[in-house]
Amino acid sequence: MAGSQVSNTIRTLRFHAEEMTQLELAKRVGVSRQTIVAIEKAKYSPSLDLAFRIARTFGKPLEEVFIYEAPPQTN
Amino acid sequence: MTEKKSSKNFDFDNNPPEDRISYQELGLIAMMLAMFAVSAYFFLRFMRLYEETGFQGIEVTSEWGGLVLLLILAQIAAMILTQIGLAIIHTIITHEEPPEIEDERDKLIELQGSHHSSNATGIFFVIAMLALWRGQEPMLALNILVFGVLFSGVVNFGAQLFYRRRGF
Repeated sequence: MAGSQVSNTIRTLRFHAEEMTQLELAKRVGVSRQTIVAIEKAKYSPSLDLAFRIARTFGKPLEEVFIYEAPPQTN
Repeated sequence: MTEKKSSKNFDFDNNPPEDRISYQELGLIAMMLAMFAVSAYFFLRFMRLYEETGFQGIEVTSEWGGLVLLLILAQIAAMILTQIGLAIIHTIITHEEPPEIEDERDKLIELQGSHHSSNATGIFFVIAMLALWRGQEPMLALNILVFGVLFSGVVNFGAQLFYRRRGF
């Protein structure tokens, strides 16, 4: 799971959401702070369910929170 | 309107440092140490039994079986006591209840730990069967299996600790 191709804007969104802490976000979406840390650092790709819950917390569509970076084509 | 901190200070989080060891990681380290302690004690008891009897005779097999059952019980007791002890120490030091949230990432990490643990058990099983195939005593194969199970427990906790520290 390390080195995920899914990046995210959670850190920026937290900043714009009244400087929400990782712990506050973690409590709102029902996970541990360590999980939020791992997601922010793109070390862990959350399930669709959790991804939607995070996006809804910020009132944003999923694509604005999580960005898929496709690997370059080799052929 | 709430007063906002300067946007220049983008490192705004009031978060604890990310490399700080978490409660779950402390629990894994404590359980590993408890397993080591129990395993070391029983290893010495197995060695003494071997020196006294050479693992020969039906009575020894019976005593050996009893020792293995005692080992399993001691491990379960050690894990329960470690969890309780850690929760009490955590509550005394931080004046907070231990975190109880187990989320999807925790479950995946536990699954990875179990995966590596079962691989380790499989390797020890093959070693035990090789010992039998090479004409060694069946008791040696049984001992290899028992220590394989003990070692796989350590692998389980070690792998979980690794994934938590590295990120998963």
